[in-house]
Amino acid sequence: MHALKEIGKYTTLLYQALRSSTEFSTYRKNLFHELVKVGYDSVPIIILVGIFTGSVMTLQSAYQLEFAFIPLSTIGAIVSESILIELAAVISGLVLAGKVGARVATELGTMRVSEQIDALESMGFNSVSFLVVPRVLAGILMFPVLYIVASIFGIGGGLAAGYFSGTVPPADFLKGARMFFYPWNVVFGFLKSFVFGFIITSVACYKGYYAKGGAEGVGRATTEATVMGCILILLADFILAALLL
Amino acid sequence: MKLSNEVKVGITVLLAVIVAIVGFRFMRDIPIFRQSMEITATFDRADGLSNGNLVYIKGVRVGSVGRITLTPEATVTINMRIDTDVPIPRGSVAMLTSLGIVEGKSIVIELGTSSENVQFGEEIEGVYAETMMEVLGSKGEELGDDVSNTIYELNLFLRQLNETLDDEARTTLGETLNNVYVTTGKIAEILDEKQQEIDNAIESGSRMLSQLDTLVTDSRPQVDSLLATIEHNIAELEAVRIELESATANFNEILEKINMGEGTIGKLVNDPSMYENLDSLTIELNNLIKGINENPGRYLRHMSIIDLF
Repeated sequence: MHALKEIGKYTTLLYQALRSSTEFSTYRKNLFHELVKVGYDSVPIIILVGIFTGSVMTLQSAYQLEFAFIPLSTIGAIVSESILIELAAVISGLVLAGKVGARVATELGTMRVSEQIDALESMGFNSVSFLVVPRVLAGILMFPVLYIVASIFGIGGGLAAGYFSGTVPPADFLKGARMFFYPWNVVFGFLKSFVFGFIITSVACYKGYYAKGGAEGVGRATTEATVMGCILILLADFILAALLL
Repeated sequence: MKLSNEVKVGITVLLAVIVAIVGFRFMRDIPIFRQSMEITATFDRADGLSNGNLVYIKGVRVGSVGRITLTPEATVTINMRIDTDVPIPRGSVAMLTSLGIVEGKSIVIELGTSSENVQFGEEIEGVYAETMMEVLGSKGEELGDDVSNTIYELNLFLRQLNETLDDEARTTLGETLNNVYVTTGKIAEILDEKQQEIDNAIESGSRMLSQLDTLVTDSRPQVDSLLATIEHNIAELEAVRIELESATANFNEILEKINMGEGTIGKLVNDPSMYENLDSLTIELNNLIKGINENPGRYLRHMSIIDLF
């Protein structure tokens, strides 16, 4: 019963956000602020995540396939495919659920418990349009960008790791990566990052927007936003894979 | 310079889009800044070929496979993107083949000899080349029969061998092996036990040999002188022998003369008259002494002590 009520409130909030998304002038300034917060500021950590994911993938694939009678290019294929389909989207999604989700939930939760949202409403502002819409839009718009960054640096990191560890020559790596490069995989990864961006920001907004109970309530909202974000990312990942592959 | 939020967002998105397009074309092996040439080829079938497989000319990668479509005539039309400055003459043949056993399928273009070149979007002839694995697949049944026959015969042989080696023979064989094993074990045991003694024996033997060696070395001069003396003696003995020989010859001569009755001894030996004379003389003397004993006065009458002195 509680879960149903949560889902209902969540859907209502999203509906309000959708309806008020036409009030561009209300949230224009906030949108760019959020785009920078979500996208531009997250680029360094996403680069780091990408490089490490790719290089670890290469080293571990090389280790696992060490004794098998297979060409080295297979490692390149495995690494680039895994990164494009799964890792670039999911791992950056999980990292950003911590980084972006927590920030959004805390911001909105604090505004809620310090009654700033009520103040906005009393001044005649549409608080959903002013606070929720720019954040969710920023997530939807910026996560695909971050997916591209993670993919490029992931494959680059894998290539570099293979080269510097001496396990996979770059030529073999690229040969395998190209041989099994299917455009659909990129489209699929792109789609995932859209979905993850939407999930993380909307769940965080929802948790923060409806936070109550002072500082403790904000803390709870932040925790729930992060945990629910991660769980929903994994769930959405599974559903997308089951539906689209 | 302080960047406004809009500029930051713009830079991020623009870079991501550029990187995405470049990366995509890079991964698909399409030249990044120019349009590649597209040609098509139609094949009977396209087993194992997929979008993105590579196109080779004389073993050099020149492009990749694009769209693969099944035509209404149940043939397969394949789009290829070719990026090379080498012109492809009309009459070139695209062969769908596999470069190695584990490699995927790829297309190899055999260049024709025509002076006219293939233009964008034109079609060239496609040939489906059977790979080794496929040939193996079609010949596989035959090969399988052969192999199973061979294995059947091998089985038969093994069964016969089994029958020949009946239970008794197997038991005996087992026992023999067991005995050999036990014997070997015992030998090893004995060797183990006697190890000390054998060592001792070998040691004392070698000691003895070394002592003998010392002895021989030490007494060499004495032995030498002894041998010299013996040699000298032998030489003297030889001389003695020669003298003895001549003596014996003389003696023989003497004996011969004696035998012949020459000389006194010869006569003594050969002439019995002397013996008879001596015998008669002895008898006479006996008689004389008897006469003297019986009647000394007769013979000693004229004999007086005074006369005698």
